Amino acid sequence: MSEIFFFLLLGLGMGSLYAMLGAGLVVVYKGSGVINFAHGALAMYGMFTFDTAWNRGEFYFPWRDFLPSHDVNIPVRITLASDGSWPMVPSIILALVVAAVLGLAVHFLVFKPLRNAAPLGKVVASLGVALYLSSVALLNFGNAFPIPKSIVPSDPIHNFLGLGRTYPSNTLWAIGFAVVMGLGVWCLYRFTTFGLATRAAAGNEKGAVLLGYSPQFLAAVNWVIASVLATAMAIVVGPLQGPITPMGLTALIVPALAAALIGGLRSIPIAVAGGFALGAVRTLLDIKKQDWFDGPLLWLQDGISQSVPLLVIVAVLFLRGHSLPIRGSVEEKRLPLSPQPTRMLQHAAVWIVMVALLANFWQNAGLRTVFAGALQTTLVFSIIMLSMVVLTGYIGQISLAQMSLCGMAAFMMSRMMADGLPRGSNLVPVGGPNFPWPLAALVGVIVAVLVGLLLGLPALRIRGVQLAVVTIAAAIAIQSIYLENDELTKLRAGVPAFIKTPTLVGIDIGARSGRFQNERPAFAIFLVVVLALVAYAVSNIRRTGTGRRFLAVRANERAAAAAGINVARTKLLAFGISAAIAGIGGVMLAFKQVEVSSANFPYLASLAVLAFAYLAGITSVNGGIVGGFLVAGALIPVGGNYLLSDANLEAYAVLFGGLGLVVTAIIHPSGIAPFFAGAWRVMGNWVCRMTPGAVTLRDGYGGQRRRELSVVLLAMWVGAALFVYNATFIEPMHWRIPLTMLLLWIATVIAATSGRYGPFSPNFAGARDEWASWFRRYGAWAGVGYVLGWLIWPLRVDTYSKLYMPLLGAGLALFAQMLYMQTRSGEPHDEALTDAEAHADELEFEEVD
Amino acid sequence: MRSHAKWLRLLAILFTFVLVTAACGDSDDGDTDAAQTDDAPSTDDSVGASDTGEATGEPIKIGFQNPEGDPNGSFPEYSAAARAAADYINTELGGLGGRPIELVVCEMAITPDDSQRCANELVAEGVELVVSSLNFFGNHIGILNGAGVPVIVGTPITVADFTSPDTFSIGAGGGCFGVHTGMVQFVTQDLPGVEGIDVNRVAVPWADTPPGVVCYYDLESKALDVIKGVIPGTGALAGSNPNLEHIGVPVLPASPDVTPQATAILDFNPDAIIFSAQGSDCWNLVDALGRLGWTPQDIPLVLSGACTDFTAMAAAGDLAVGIYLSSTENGLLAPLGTVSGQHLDNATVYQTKGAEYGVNQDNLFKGFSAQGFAVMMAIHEIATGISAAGGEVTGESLKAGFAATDGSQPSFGGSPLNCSSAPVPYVAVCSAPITMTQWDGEQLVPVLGGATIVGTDLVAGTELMPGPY
Repeated sequence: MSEIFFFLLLGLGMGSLYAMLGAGLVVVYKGSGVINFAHGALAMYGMFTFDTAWNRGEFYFPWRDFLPSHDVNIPVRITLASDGSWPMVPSIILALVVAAVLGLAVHFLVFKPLRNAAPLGKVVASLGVALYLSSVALLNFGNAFPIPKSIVPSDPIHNFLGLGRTYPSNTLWAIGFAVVMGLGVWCLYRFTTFGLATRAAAGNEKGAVLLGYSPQFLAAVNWVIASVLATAMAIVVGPLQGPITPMGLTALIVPALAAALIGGLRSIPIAVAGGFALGAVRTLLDIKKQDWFDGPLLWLQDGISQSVPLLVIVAVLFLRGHSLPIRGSVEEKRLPLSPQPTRMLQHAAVWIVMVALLANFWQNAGLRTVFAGALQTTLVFSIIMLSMVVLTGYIGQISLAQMSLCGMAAFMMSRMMADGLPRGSNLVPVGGPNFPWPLAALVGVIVAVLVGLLLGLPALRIRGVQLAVVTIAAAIAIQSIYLENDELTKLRAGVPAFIKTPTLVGIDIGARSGRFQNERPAFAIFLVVVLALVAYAVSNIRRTGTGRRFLAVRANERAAAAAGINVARTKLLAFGISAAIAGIGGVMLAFKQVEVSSANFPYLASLAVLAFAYLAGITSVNGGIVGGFLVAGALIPVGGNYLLSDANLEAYAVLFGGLGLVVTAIIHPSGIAPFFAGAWRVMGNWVCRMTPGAVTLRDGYGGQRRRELSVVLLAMWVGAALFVYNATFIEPMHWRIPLTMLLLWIATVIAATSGRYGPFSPNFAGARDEWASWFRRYGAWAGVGYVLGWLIWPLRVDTYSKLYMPLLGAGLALFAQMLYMQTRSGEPHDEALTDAEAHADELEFEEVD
Repeated sequence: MRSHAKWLRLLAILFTFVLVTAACGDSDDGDTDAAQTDDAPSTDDSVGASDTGEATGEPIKIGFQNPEGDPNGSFPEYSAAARAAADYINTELGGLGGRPIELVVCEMAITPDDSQRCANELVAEGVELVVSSLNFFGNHIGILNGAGVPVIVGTPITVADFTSPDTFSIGAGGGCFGVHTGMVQFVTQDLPGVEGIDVNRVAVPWADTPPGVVCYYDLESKALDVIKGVIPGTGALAGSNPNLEHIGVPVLPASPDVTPQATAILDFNPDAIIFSAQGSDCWNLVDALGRLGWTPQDIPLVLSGACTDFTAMAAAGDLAVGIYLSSTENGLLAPLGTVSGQHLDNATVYQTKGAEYGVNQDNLFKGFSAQGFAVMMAIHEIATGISAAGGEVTGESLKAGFAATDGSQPSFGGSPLNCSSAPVPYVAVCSAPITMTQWDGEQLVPVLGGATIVGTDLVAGTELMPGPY
């Protein structure tokens, strides 16, 4: 018994960190009504700042110069001490100041603008902040992760409390600090006017305003308090937290959330006590798990202590979910509209043809072979992101465990394929039923659906932010209880699971070529067909009664129930569908990678999926697909890297994702896909009006000969692609682009002059006038952008491309102009575009709201 | 209008701030710039390097695959040292047979797909040779083999590193094959003499990673059980100590609190502790053990060379004094005053040229930094042999050069390479002997007079045991 008591005491060290992080979450929630998923990340940046100042004599601003040049740079680093070490006390002060500034910045730049936003907007914004800070920390502080030195005495205390064991004194210090700081904060809120005002604002924001308090000022001060407390505690805990990594403290958000929920998001002392208890219980389980979980309970050994926060969170939400405070605000915005998809079959046909051609084009193409792999990654993640569209975009539920569902499906498929032979990197035989891949994949997807339904159960009682809390805890529990559970997976210590190559009627449709490269066109075609089917299904859901029920639940659950909708069943259906899509994505990811390990499905990956889906536009099918292009390793980051000659843009994918998420949540909650849909339409009209004969085909497409013209256009398009593919004799390669365009235009003129689709339009004079008009309106923007790009290129001649930098500059300038006009008017600007033209244009591939 | 004025004021403040910070701040691409070789001074003859000047021939592309930026394991010092070595070779040693090295570094996360992504990208880049620092999965070698690219492994830890064709595991005492068995050999056979203690109980915390599990079960747990006589073996020490007990304690990389693991280790009441992991994880465990009252004087601790990090060891203070760390015959971190001959030359080149060509002081005395430098220098030594024989240095000729090594020539920073006699099935292991050193608070002092330790005999005649048995 005394041994158990001692082990519980031992866990109070980490418990003190959970306690203060939990208290900080309560403080922020009281102050601004935000459950701050970035709380651990704020502490992490402060901790890195302290350690770097103290042990390296350097300070890093919380940003990054992502296009460094030889001559002009954004300042990132300041050397504080040339001998590589700054004194401890100033380092602590610096870290706390940074924590305070970050707290203020997060409040004023992110959450103040979002004060009336929908809960999803706030959740994704805090996830965006967490992703941004983690990514900046990784890039700034280097990626060798130090063990922090202790700032308090750490001598062992022998025979502690007469228990016959040695106790670390720095754990005692950490407990003392947590208790003192917890009491201090409690007194602040209990006995001061500021505390009273904060509590008043938490209870009734309007009332606080009427009494003359500024809720935003109160919120800002609370953000500072929370951020400083978290950093101070991380510094005191020091080496107890292990190596300082961008993920370490960030991931402690889950036990911190559990502690905060124990305190009912109201009580700081109870949250602190909850944090201590959580730390104590987890350490006790870690030490005693081998004794306590044996025999039939052996499978619990691996994940039991990591699952404690989930159990606590579910228990608290189940028992007290309805009594948790929900902060009222002056006004609350809803999620963006979910557009109804149109012409999915045409889109699917075009995409399949395009992917097939690109996949062939990039196979064994020297340096460009990387695009073949990026194409596979893009298509896989587009599928996974569509699962977010159903769950979050259509029905408004938040899941931070989608990648865990993918992992479940992938691992289960591997196990169902296993045949008792050691394969791939795994030398230990894994037994299994040796199912053929379609059956194994089906089992994987079914298991994902079952787990998804389990995840959906809490959604019957809770919603919004609370659901995000449950699912992030579930993601970590799934990882430790299943994906990293040796007993269940038979894969020791993260050894990858092997996936056999899929075949279809004897044809190899696997991802890898004979030289083991991710480049096989057959797999890309397999992927795009699956993506098209999933996208079609998701579009159909939106068009049917099911979709309308989803949207009704999203808009107002009570109203939906009043209208006769079974809300519980509808929610579970959405969770099930979403999990099935995530499972399909997981299966395809497994096929792509051939070997999958638990490291492929960390909870952070789920945050990134949500981030990119939201960034692209989580309420639309297009958004899901565009989101797949944005993830690390997909076509946009890889293409950016290629065009900018190894500027290593891929390293910034998560940083841009986090930043983009915050900006999108604030200024454009619909995401970027709808913007691009508008921009695409505008650009399509430019091209049509500036190309002699093109308007004839555009207008003809809306006329009686639509079918005939569809065939003509498709033939032209495929012909052009085949020309590009086979025109290897044209050197330099860049010439293929204008030549292809010339051929396309000649075909357009031939079709337009036939008279079958209407009068020839525009004529050459009209097109010339349009060119002149375009240059008058946009030439200056493009020119300035081009020149700026041209000027930036010589700043770093060894990495930037002198061809692409000016073009990129021109493109960015036009993009900025469009963004500016769109932000002002709600539409990409095109004065000459009439409403009639806008609706007549049906050649674009994006959906129209 | 008021809003415009507010924005202008904000912009003005921001602009002023940027100017001020630009005046007193640095850009953060210092690491890259620090490796510039334009101003590199000429070679100091006393260090024994041949001065053949700057390489001017057609560049030879060498890929370098390294885990960086992943919280589960990140070793930027490995590639930084390799870059420094490449710059040194290009600037002062005439490149590889006159061909300057173009090092293409692929940073990877510790996931199986990223390991393969890097291999794919390096193949696409058209590299002639790939250096794999350490890889948790070993699934990249098949891709490189498939593309006909030979692989040099700096820190071999997976079975693929030990057994793949056209692969040469030249570093770190043959990776865990040499190091883990060597550490068991040292603890059970040499430590009693060195410390004057009996060693019958050995605690073996082990890195809970894909290679860690294989290295522990097959090369540590099995080796100890062979000595105990539980597992039959053909080695001389099989069954030599039936009283030998051991406990394995898995330690996840980058664990936030390893107090439970430290408690399990100390509760076993061991006579000695063996731990082989990556830099920060080693010192995280040492710190946790220390917090529970352990000292190296109470229970000797033997760490693998991968744990070597002078900064972390200095920070650990008295807790690190007396800890044993494995090394190799010409270990580059040896104090210059304690070694001589080839060993002194190698250590001097690394400690002077490494720093001169961009390895920062934080990294210079880390085990993986020394290994990164040594691997590139070993490639240069083979290239020099090819040139001396009148051959052209290419990926293929380097492969042939490594394959022909027979242990007769010293190797930079390590034991002589003997790839031609690599034992079956470990056909890629070119070097397995290790040496042992001890941290005295300032430097690593050779133990046993720097004599080599070979523990591979402990697992001779046994079956592969890559997991729990």
